[in-house]
Amino acid sequence: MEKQAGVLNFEVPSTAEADETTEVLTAALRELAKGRIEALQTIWELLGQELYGLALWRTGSRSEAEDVVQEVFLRLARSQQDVSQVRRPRAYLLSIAHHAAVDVTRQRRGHLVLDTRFLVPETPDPARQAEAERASVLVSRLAPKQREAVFLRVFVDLSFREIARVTSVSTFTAASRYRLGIRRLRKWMGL
Amino acid sequence: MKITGDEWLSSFDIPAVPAGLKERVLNAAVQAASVWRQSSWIERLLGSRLVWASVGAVAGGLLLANLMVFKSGRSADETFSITWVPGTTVEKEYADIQATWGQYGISASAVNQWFEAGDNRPRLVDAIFDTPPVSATDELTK
Repeated sequence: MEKQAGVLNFEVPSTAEADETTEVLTAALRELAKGRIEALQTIWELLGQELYGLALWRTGSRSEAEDVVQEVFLRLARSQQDVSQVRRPRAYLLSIAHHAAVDVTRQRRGHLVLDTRFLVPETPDPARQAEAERASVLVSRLAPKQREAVFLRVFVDLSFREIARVTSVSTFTAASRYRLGIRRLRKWMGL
Repeated sequence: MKITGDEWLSSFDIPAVPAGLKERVLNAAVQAASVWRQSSWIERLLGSRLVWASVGAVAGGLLLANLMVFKSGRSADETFSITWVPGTTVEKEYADIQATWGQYGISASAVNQWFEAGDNRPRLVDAIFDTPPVSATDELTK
């Protein structure tokens, strides 16, 4: 993944890349379990963007998303000895982010004005910029649970089973949230 | 399963992580790890969500059990023996009781009459486990 004009190209990794990511993440968690805190840097490089994206789509707030990402790394730092046996590191870390995001939204006081910048264009073309803004407004109208399921499916390329694991619901519920979210977006888009 | 719409969504990108967040997060994590290493085992225990969740679950269970004892007016042992059956519903209990008595030749309608005669729920549940006494059988078939 490479950065371009303040925007991260968010290409879904191939199976081989995903396997490699899993291996590196597993190794990083083992290092962390041995007390090597610098392993957090590796985890950030591999998953920082996904964790932030999940937090943003779940909470609908950039500032809360930042807090969620920080909370994920604080929890890792405080539970170093418990992470050596994690078998699905990506799902495990996304799951921590999910739960942290749920905690943050529960503690929210007062009405939150949603950030509507959920999507950005791949290129700085003004027409695409306008389309991304329109798409972001539509995404902001989705329920947070549906938004989260759509994000995990479309941008992280998780299966419904994996989404279910990350969000602690049944596979049926995960699929249902995604379908409902996409159906609503299609309706609002006039497709 | 792909639905038109997700392809449209994936033609966009997700906003990049804000500048400075990486440093803020990693610095906070390093500090937290340092504090964690210096803390004693009892402090770690008290700081563990798992421990507090377990304490909460046990306290909640005890409270619930006490409430049930209070409500039913029965002893704790009796209450647990009756209520600690996952997935049991009153209807299932009724069906089980009818089936149990049915083995002794008692019809379901006869058992229903017995239910309606004023027997309360704990007694009915007990009946699942008890062999119907001969005298009771006689009483029902009269």
